[in-house]
Amino acid sequence: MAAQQEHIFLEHLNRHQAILYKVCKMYTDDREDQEDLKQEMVYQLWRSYPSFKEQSQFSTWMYRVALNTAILHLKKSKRTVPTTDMTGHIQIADDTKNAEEKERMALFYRGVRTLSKVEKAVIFLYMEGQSHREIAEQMGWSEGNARVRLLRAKNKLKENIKKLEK
Amino acid sequence: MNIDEFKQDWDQEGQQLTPVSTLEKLKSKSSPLAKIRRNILMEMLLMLTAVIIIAWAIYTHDYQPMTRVVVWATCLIGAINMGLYYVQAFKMYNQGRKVDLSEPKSVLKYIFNFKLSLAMYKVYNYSLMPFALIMGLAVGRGGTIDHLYSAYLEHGVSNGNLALFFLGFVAFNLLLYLMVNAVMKSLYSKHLDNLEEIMDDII
Repeated sequence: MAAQQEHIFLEHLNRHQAILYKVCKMYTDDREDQEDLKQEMVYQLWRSYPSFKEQSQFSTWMYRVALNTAILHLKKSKRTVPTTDMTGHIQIADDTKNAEEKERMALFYRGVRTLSKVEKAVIFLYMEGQSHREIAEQMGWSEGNARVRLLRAKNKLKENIKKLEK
Repeated sequence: MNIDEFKQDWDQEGQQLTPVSTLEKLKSKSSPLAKIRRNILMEMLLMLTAVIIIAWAIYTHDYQPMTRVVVWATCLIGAINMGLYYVQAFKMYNQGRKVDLSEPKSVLKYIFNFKLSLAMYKVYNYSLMPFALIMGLAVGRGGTIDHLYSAYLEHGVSNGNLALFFLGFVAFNLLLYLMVNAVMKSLYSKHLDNLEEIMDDII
């Protein structure tokens, strides 16, 4: 029974692994920290899995657990070795991307990392195509609050990217 | 540059990842909740070690009849409080495991309960300080309390000695107070404050 549950969970997890990958890259630029955060997210997802009611989509539930884990994740070290990919289970075949695309996303991630933990979460949900109402539900805010916070985060990100481009 | 311009590349991100094949050896290492739980466990083990050492030191020493009463009464008070401490510590340790990260309310509830327990734990520590002094004198250098009691019977207590004892008592308690605060802060308060700050930011 437990093995079957693990199998189903892994299937779900692998289908939506990109979520973890992107959250990790948004929250830290250090290879080891990304790996730590990814492990922590998988652990928390597996631990909370019994509470997952199939009324919502797995990805919706995964957003909530992954983002809350990333927000609560405390980073002790101040390592500054920048990286654009991750080791371990989550690895991307970056060579298939063209250099321009890669550079653009690197710039985006650098800009995102200058935001606060909560702003990062809002931007992540926006990039995932979530509506204001869905963002509000995920974060436990009112729709109006989500709208204002998203607008502020987007403006801040735009400014930061502009600064980084110079 | 508009943020929406990144959306197309964003959707392509993480498309060719190596699948996760097993959940074995998966452990929580870096979350503040895991750190708090680890610290509770470590503290419980250290307390147990200290209790064994103190109990052994007291048991193996042959006290004078008068001091024996004081030492054993102090031990009894210590044992009752230690029992209460372990009940509460286990409770917080187990509650930490049940926190559901998909529900921010669950984290907030844990922070609230833990802070309450921590405040009670501090008060309990402060109220036990005078007894800790007696315990320290009982264990210190083969029963310092016995030497003090003998000296008192032989020479009585001069005003100077009384003042010295009072100063020592105040200094000892002050030191213990600072120590308790520093230990509680490094083990729990800083993690809790950090969690609370993040939760405030979310809500």
